[in-house]
Amino acid sequence: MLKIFHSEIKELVNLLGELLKQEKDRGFSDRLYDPLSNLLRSLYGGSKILKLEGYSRLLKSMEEYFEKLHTHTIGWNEAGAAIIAKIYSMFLGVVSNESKIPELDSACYAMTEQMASKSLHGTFKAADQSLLLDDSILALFRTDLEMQLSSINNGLINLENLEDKSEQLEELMRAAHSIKGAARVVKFEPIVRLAHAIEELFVSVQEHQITLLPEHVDIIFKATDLLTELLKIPTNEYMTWLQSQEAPIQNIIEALAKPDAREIPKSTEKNLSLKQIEEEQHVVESIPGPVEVKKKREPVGRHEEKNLERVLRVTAKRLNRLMGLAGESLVESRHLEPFSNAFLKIKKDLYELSEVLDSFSDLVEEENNKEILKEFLLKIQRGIYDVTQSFSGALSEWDLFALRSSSIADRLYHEVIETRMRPFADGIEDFPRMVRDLSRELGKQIRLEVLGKSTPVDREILEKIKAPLNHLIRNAIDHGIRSPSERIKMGKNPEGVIRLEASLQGGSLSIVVSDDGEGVDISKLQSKILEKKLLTEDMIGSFSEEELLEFLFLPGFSTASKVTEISGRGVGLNVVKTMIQEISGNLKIKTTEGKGVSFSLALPLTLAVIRVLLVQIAEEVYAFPLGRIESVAVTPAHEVKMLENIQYIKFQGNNIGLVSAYKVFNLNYIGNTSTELSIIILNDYSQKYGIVVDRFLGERELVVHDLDPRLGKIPNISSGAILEDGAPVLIVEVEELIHSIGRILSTDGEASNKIADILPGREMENNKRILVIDDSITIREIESRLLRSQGYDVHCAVDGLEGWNLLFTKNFDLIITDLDMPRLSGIELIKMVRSNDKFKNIPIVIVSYKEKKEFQESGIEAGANCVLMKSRLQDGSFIKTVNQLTGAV
Amino acid sequence: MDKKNEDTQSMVKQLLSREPEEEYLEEWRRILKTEKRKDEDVYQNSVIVFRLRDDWYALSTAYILQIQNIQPIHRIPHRTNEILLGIVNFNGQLALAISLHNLLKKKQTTSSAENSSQRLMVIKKEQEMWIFPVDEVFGFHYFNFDKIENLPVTITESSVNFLQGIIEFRQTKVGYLDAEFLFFCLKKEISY
Repeated sequence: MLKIFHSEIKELVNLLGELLKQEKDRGFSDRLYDPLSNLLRSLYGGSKILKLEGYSRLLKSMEEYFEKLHTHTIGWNEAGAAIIAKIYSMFLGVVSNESKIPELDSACYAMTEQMASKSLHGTFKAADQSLLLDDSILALFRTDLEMQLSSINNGLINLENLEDKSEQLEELMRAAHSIKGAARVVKFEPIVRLAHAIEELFVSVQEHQITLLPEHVDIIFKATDLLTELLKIPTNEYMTWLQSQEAPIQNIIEALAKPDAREIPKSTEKNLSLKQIEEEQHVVESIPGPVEVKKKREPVGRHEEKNLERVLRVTAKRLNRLMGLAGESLVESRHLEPFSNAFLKIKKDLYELSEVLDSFSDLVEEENNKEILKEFLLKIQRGIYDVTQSFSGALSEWDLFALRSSSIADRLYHEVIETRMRPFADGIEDFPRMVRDLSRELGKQIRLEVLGKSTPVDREILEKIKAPLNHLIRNAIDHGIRSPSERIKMGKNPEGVIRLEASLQGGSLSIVVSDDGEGVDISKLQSKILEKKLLTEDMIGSFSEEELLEFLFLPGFSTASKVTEISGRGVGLNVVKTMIQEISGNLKIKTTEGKGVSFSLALPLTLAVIRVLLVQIAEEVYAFPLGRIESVAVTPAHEVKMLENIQYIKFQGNNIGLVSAYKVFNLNYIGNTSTELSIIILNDYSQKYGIVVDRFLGERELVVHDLDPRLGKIPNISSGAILEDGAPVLIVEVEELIHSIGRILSTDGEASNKIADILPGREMENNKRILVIDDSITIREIESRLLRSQGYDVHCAVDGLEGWNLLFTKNFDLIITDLDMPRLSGIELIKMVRSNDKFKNIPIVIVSYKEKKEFQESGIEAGANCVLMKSRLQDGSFIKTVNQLTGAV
Repeated sequence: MDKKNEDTQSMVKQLLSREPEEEYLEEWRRILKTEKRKDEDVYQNSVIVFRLRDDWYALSTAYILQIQNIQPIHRIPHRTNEILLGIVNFNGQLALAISLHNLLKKKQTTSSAENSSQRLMVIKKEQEMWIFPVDEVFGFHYFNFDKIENLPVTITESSVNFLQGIIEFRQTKVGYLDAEFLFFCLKKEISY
């Protein structure tokens, strides 16, 4: 037994040696873990059998130690290495002599003590704490880091623009210190060191040992960028990330401490005047050191602007449920109203009843001997009066209750909607930093002014406008604002200003991005438009400045002469506009040459609520977002004209193609008795379309609900909502709908069927279906108009082959065909029809120009029932023939 | 120790060895005579019994989230079919409504005439929730697993696949639905 134990000890020594050699600078790797833990476990077993208690203990604690290293609950450090080295040399002694093994037992005891308490004390303490280091702690750390990083970023930007820097520096020190503290708790050593280095730098600046130069700021930004990455990865990858970032972090720490960075002569730095430095010196005298500074620190001045309200994180799902319930309580409270009405009615009934009794008692009066009856009546009357009285009391109380309840529900609902709001400032935290970095890179002096920081903005919108705003600001930095020397030449302040202003205006959110740069050169824009052949020379004169500026939003249009990394590729403004439109917003541009450009964004207050037009289709309610409706029209059905299977109306001088909503939504047509058509007119830049619905129900504000993801993307539908009465409603996706309508209108043959649906009543008069085949559009039009006026369901085909194919799609009662047609002539078609079992009994009429007898005969021979001359279409014999053959009359 | 103590002892003896009253003996005779009762009061399973057209079904209460009054169901263009009816308002949220009847019978039938006993049943398993109209809800029923009868072999209807067995409720045979299978089929039917 001892022999086995001995050989295993040897193996352990080898492994430990390898560990010490390899892991010295790289930390504990998983490669060695498995053999080590297996070996330790087997050794532990052996020691138990051999009753070597000291060994058992030591081996056990070693196994635990490696386990912790393996799971990253503790890190590999020097203390650990030292202990392992000791154990290594201790066991090395017994490798040559197995009889020494029992002697070492007490030494093992001592070593266990050491592992547990002394050298590894720190590490084990960490290990204990690490038990608490679950995801929730790391999530807290992440939140903390996020806050502190953003305050360092913002603080640094402010610092460069501030006269009195000391207060801002205090805040920066505090933020760095907080990161240090937090990192220490979670045992992220490299971050502790990094934060410490940043803090040190701030302290040195505060104590005026060095002057903070933009180079320093760049390095700190590098550090915060690095740490920001940590926010993007899942918490369980933190350890590996930290290991991989060890070197970059060390670089930054060294850069922060580098004496040469501190020795950059102040004179080369333009941003800090000597006067400012003197002022700082003055400030420094009153602030002895960072530690006391922290104690003295009170929330002062600028920071009071900050919203001190506590912020809680709520999952979107919970919020949606809450909104659902709030909406429902609103719906429920509306149900109280009908109750009120019902009570009112009962009250009225009681009143009428008592009146009847009154007149009845008058009648009783006439007969003298009915005293008892009279008394009885009196009792009833009194009773009814009492009931009416108490009922009135209850009713008015009920009214009050209904009122209160709906007001509470209303308030709850709006409050919940409000929870979606965040201050504007939350969405633009990255911008000051971006403006600083970019302008430094381009050698420009630019300041970003933000107004309306506390304007509440829907969190979804806030997220979605980040990219467009980013784009606009980049544009302003790159093209709008010139270099300081150029600006001075033009008599401007060398420092350019970009202003970002958010405010609530009426029912919408307005965000304006403006700069005091060069503005848009209209003549340059004109020549660019001409160069791109978007307009001709004589046209361009008639375009107003405002209209010309719209060209900037076209894809691939850029006035920038060169493409830089920052902007100028021409995709920018187009993308910005599209993104803004996606959230139902609008983008306008204004410019004054030489004075600057301003972009105004008009956005909805929230994406959670939209204004819609409610319409009825097939006895159900659908909602069209108001923002995307061009207009609505109610037109008498007879004003609908027909051309090439497309129905259209004339509306404000335009011909507007119509499509039935039933067709678009693939619904079964149910009769609509109205003689007027309700049409929603939609606009797709160049084309206008009309969609015919059953009825308009009015405008409404709806809270948007996402539809169940199991449904997938439903064609032409974007989302759902719940009406005041609790009924569900579907919200139409207009953009997609326009495309669907376009598609339906361009594939005429199929559409003609459903088109008939939008003309109420007609199809029902006569459900015979006729196939009209002619290669002349005029003849097709005349024939189908004549037939439709008789209530026939008419389908058209442009030649014999198409006609043949259509026969298979539906049951036809009559075929009307020309003889001369491309692809498949009338005679051939008739022969095919007659030889097909399914179609051979359909009556066929030939309508032809050819008046010669032989043609007529060949037609009859092939199987046509009748041959008509085209010249006689209008004289009534055509309809007569058709009616006879279909048996309609 | 004394007389007093001895007195007490004899008194106790006397008390304990006295003849029991006949009434008391009778009561015990009766109790011991009756058979040991089975543990019928502790039921192993509870279901809600409901009616779809002429058929009665039972579904384990574990899957039933809510039973609510009938609400309008909005059809969904391009999605609504014989199984998927549309969307319906469930506590202020939009949920999917299905026709359990059509799913079980594998054939399309027109919806039954509206009546006041119709309800919407909301069932849920993990994150999956479905709502379906039923013609009548009879309430809870508790039973033991040994009370589940096997399905008669003669049943050929496709709904048989959905049944775990037959249970008896108020002298009526009720199809005991296999909830797991039901959720499985719904998931398969409705996914785009």
